[in-house]
Amino acid sequence: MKEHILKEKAFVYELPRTQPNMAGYEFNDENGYWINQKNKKPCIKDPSFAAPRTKKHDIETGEDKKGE
Amino acid sequence: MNNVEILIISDTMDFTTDYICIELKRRNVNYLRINRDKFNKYKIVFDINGLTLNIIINSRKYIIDENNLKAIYYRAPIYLHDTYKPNLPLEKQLYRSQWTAFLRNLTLFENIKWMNNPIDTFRAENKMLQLKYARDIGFICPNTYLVNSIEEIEINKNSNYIMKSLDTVLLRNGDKEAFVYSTVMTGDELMNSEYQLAPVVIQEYIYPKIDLRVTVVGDDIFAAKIEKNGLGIDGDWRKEKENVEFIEVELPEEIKRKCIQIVSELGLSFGGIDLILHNNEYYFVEVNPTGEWAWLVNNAGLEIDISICDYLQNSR
Repeated sequence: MKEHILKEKAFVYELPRTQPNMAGYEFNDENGYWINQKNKKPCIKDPSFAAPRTKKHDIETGEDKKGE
Repeated sequence: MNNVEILIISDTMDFTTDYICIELKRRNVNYLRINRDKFNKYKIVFDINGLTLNIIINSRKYIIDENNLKAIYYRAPIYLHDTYKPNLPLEKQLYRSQWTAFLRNLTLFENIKWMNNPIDTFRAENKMLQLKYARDIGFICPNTYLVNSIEEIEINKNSNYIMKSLDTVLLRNGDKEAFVYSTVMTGDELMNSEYQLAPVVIQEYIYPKIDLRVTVVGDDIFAAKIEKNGLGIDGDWRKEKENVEFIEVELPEEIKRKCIQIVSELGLSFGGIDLILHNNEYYFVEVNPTGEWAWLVNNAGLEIDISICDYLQNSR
């Protein structure tokens, strides 16, 4: 029996998805953003930090974290 | 003790929220970011008598009430797809269901600005409703059907169509996961596919095309075209996201007005609109009430973070 069109056309990938490596950074609750543990600068301003291009980091799964 | 002017609902790994907090700190605004994954680390008392939400984080007390609160920036799902997580432990189920309900109850702050109010997002996140609004406003929309049978619609076997899901499809099967992109299919393929189990969207395929992402923040508008090697992209550009360029563009005034209007008419203050440019005509595809934007700050230099902060900070 044929599969449903959405199932047939789905892009399948292995779990787990990669999570960003946050070693060297810490989340500052008071400021509400990640900082570099050494220089205390915001992580997203750090050129060596790979800023995410989508919220899910590696796989585009819609824009409001429906994949949670 | 801190009286919060801007409350931000997010989670720790949402780096897009970092852009907002950095800018608000620079402006010396009293803001508070609460992260959904850390709720059990906070001490929270929501007092219905005084309509006051007290939150203690690392011994620091924050007070949220309508005397001081101007805006809530809501960067969280409006509901969680628990059908997709079949084997969650009891504690996790409890956490997810009850804290999500807690967030929904923040809508009792009715006299403040929201970006976006989850109630409005819930309604606005319906593709067919969006198309109705878009058409009423005067946008050109691709012919669109929502079907679980294609026998009754006219399909040309030699034409191309877009097949996409009505809502995000994310399926878990053992150690694999599946996601459905918008997919270009021939009429012949469509006619030989199976539908009955669940509805799908079948849409006229507009090509050649340039994809545009238009971000609306209140009355501000930011537009970028998405190209690969100077050309538009066949099918869903997200499949090519590592190889595409985002280039700022200026939209015609009439299209700008329509973009702002549809976001406003859907009750939103923010929307990420997907348009297609084809033969000098702009087609409306959809609006994402919770659309991402940080990639446009990084890649196209659009100051969306600044605009969001302006919106949140402006007095009632």
